[in-house]
Amino acid sequence: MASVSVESLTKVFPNGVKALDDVSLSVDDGEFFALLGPSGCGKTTLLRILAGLEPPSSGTITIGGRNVTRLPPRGRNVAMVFQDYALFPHMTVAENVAYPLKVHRIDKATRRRRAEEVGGGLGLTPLMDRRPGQLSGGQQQRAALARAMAADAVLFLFDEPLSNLDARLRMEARTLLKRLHREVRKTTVYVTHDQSEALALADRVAVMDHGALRQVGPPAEIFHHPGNLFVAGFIGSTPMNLLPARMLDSHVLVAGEAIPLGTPGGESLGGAAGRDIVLAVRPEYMTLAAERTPGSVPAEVEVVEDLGTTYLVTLRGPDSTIQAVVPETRVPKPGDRLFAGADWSRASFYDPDSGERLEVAVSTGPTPPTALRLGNKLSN
Amino acid sequence: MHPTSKTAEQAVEPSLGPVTSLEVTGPSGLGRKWAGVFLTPSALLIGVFLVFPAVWTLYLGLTNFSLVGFAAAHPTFEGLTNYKNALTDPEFGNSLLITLIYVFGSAVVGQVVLGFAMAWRFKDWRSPLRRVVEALAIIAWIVPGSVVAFLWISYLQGNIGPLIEHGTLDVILHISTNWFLQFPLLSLIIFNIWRGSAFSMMLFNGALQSVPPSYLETAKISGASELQQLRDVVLPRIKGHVLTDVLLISLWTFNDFTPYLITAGGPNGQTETLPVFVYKVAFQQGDLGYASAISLIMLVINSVIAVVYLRMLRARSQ
Repeated sequence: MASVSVESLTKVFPNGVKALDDVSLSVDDGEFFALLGPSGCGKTTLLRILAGLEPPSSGTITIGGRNVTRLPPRGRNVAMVFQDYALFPHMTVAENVAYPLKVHRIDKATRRRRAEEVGGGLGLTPLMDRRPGQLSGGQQQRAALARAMAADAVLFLFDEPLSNLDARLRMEARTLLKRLHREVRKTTVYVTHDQSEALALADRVAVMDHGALRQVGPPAEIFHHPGNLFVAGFIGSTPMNLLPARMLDSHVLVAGEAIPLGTPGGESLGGAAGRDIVLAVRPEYMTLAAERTPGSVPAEVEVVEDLGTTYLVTLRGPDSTIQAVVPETRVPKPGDRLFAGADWSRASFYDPDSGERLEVAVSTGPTPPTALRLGNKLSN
Repeated sequence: MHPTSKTAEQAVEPSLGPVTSLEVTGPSGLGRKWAGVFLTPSALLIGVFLVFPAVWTLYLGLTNFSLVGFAAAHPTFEGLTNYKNALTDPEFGNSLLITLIYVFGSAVVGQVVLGFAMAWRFKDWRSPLRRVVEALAIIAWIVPGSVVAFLWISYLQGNIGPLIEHGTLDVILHISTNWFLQFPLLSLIIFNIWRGSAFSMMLFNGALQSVPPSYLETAKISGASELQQLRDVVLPRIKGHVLTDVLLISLWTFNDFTPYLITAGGPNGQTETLPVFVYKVAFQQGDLGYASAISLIMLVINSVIAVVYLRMLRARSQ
């Protein structure tokens, strides 16, 4: 068991690419910590530096109170699961699982016992004498997991361990990972580009971009209160609506519609009333209505996409494109002219220049958000 | 044939049509006759320059054919006499032993180990030094035998004209040693390691590329030392490459004639490998029949080496 602390870590590759730029973070003992970001954001580099596979250019890494910055991988007592599982094809599952013990010259009987013990918990018992080539993707993934657990490491490192699985298996494996973590409570750093994985698994998520941390926090905070426009645009199964708006004294003006604020905007923005802002609201919190209601804007339906239980509707608004997720019972058709409203209390506000979040509360008083949802009868 | 059932048949076995047409025209789609026409020139060349000499050697080995004298004009059939002579000839036995030491020392151990060591060491290097060392090794490998022979004579022996009076190595070390007299076979073995390691290095460069980095990294994180990584991850993965490499360089070294260009078999037969011995018997003693017989024995030994390696390769893949 160990906590991890990373201090002002920078990594510049020999070809001049700056993969990490002054990254500092800490992972608590027993925490499941996800590094999330688009490809090339530096998340895998950070993980590899934690493992000792890459030397950092500067900065320090502490695992379990021990400065391991200059230690080789074997001195760090960590276990890592790779995207391709890296199971040795010439060894059986049992030999693979117990490989960390073999390296430490532990006798064969003990190795076998340990492999059976760890593998048993992952449903590998009938597969112990098979070769990795004879296993399905999901079984290989569990074997790689078993090997990491057999090592008795203080820290688990996962490098996109689910991305080689098909969608259905990925869900199963995700649940398995979550259950395992609840059982063993081992400190885990988990790299993924899949936000649903990060949000579902992690106690805390760090969103990375261009070698820097953009936001660190629990999944709910990341999802509901994105700290900047990058996180707002990156998180969410459908991209957030980013609408140009204008901050007034006690209202936000979106396409000519006034949305009342909880606290006077000018006050909370330090006298910035009258300035342009970006209003962000998730398509899931948008509503479509046939009649005009307070705080809704006119829009024409362009595209309707079937998401299964819901539909994603793309509309052309007065200033920008708007997307809304609607229930399967009320599906508009392309060409319909509707009014797009929202649960504006769910909206976030950003400075269009810096991209940083503006702390503004939308009023739930005079015109309650529910009022915007009235008159949802659609013209078909 | 069955127009009514044709569509049903096609639905069940759509490959039926193409397969029958393949039997008529062959995989090239030419038809047997034309395929034969195109094969003839290469078959003729192989016949004239490969098959005929082999059969001719087989025949000569059974005669007392010689370079000069009465037997040159009227060779007589001697049966297996040449083979009996070879197997009891101490010179042949000695030559075979020297060849085996030369092959084992310079190829199986020297080139494989040095070639692998270079490939392994250079694997993660991105520095220009790697390119320089690789280029030097490859130059040693591709320069013609006569040139490298001259280079090594000037390096270890000197005594070729007023410019190269002393061996370069002696000049560097400020000593005076006659390497080819004092350590003839060892000198040749080191020469051949220098000359041939580039091939193994290049082959292992490619082989190591086939080891996924995540395998080595998993081993490293598990705590494996470099030797354990080689034993547990790398060697099982590239066993096939190692066998192929050992087979090729064993055969090349076994049949290598470059030693003759350096030491001509001397001193006192100490570097007389089989190819040198055959050359001596055929063109210095003029005994072509006996030389043919020894050549055929060499061919058999080559075949045995090849079969053993191929068996090992096949056993590995099963």
